[in-house]
Amino acid sequence: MANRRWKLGKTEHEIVSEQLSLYMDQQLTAFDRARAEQHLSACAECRQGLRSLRWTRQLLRQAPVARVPRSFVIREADVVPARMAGRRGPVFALRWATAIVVALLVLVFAGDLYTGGLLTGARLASAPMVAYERAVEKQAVEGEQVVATQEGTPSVVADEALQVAGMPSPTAEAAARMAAPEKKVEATGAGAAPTGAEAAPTGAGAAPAGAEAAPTGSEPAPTGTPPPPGAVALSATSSGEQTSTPAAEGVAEKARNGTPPETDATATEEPQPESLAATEQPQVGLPKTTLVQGREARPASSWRIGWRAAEFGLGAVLLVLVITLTWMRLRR
Amino acid sequence: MDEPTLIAEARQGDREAFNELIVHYQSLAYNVAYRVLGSQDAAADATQDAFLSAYRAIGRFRGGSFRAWLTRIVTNACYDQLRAKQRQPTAPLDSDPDQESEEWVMDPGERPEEQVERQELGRVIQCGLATLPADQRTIVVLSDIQGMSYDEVAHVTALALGTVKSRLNRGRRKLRDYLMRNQELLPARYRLHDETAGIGGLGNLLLECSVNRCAIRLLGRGVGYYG
Repeated sequence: MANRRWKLGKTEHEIVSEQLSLYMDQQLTAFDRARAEQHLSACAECRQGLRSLRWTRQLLRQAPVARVPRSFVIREADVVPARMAGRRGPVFALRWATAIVVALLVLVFAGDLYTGGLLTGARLASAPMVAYERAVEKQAVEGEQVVATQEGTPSVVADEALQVAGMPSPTAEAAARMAAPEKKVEATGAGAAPTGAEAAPTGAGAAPAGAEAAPTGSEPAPTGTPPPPGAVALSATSSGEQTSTPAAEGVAEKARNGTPPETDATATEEPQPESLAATEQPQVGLPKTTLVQGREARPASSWRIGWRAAEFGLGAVLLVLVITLTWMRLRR
Repeated sequence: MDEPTLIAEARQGDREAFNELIVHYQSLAYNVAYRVLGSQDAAADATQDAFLSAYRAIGRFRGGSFRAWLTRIVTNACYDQLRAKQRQPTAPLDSDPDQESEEWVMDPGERPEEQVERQELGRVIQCGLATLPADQRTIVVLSDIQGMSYDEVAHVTALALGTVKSRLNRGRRKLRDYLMRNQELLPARYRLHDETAGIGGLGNLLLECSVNRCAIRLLGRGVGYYG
């Protein structure tokens, strides 16, 4: 019976010897208790183990009681200084400093948002996008109409350039007026507007500003400086237009050299493309002016760098405070 | 002492009422801390911290056994002390005063030599408790020294009843092994006499283990193990 194997491969002796403490405290179930009693009657080792456990418990119960070294009653001085000490400690000061820095950070973020750091920037960036996409869509629709009405013309943009070169009076002037205040933007260069501005010298008396803008605008993509996000999106959406730019440049080059373009006959014969260019060109240029306003507004609001600096500075201070607090808490 | 009334008054912020509770329970709290920590100073600090914590938390006392609630705070304060000591490994482990300076509450009916023998028993037990892990030591102290039931120990330690049983079983067996190895340190009347073979094999066991390191330390300068 003593060597009978029970669950987990343990013998009855092993099980009972582990249950002696519970048996002593009468914490065993009826089944376990009966098994233990049966085993104890036959196992001297377990009887000795039970006896030694009872002896141990008896000794522990006879352990002397230590006299309290002093009274632990709470005095008023024990309570108040403990609270005040907690308030005066360095951790308390660091907590307050952290709270103040967080409050300042929130204020700086709010101020940045309120003064247009993020909202206005997004609005300015999106405005030319919407307008330009609208113009491109309209151009595409009208371009299809042109292609449908005049067969044999190589491309709509080439026709536009021809018309602008031949009859520059409304188109070139409008382009020159728009190009006048935006030399910087022309330097980054999109495709369509420069064609009108470039055609200005060959046309009938464009404005000097337009003439000045023309050489720079005629560059396909000088991009000495990377364009801002709005401009990037703009150039991305105007990729189709940029592909047609070489054709327009070729036409404009011929117009500058005084040689009539090859498709001049078709261009002059058909008045419709002229009206198309006259009505379309300002629309294509419109988002550029908006974009220019958005870009010029950024340097004008350079004080926003101060907001950014304050945000980063306060964030760094907050990080240092949090790390210090965590370290002090762990050290305690 | 009308404990429920004192508790109710203490919950209203009556410090004097809470102090009456402290006077009643401070011996229990200090002895639990002393047996768990093994040092007078650490036990006094833990007891004071526990009473201050209890005073601040008395408003959250939901009824039931105030003794168990207070003992739980005391054991938590002891664990805080142990953790704080473990974080300072450079502190000398034996910096605590030995138990010679410890004062004991003696039964006035005992003769002086019996009181001395009980003090010796207390020191050996303290040295044996030092060999247990803190979790087993706490349960052995609560159950066998303070006489708490299994349910009360489970309530104090916030452990499952089965965990309490297993830890108490392991703790008792380890302590038994230690006491049997060091019986020569006990006064004669506290030793376990072999009822069949006299000293016999148990005597050999005791002789073999009499050079135990803790026994030497106990004979030399005390049994403080706090830390």
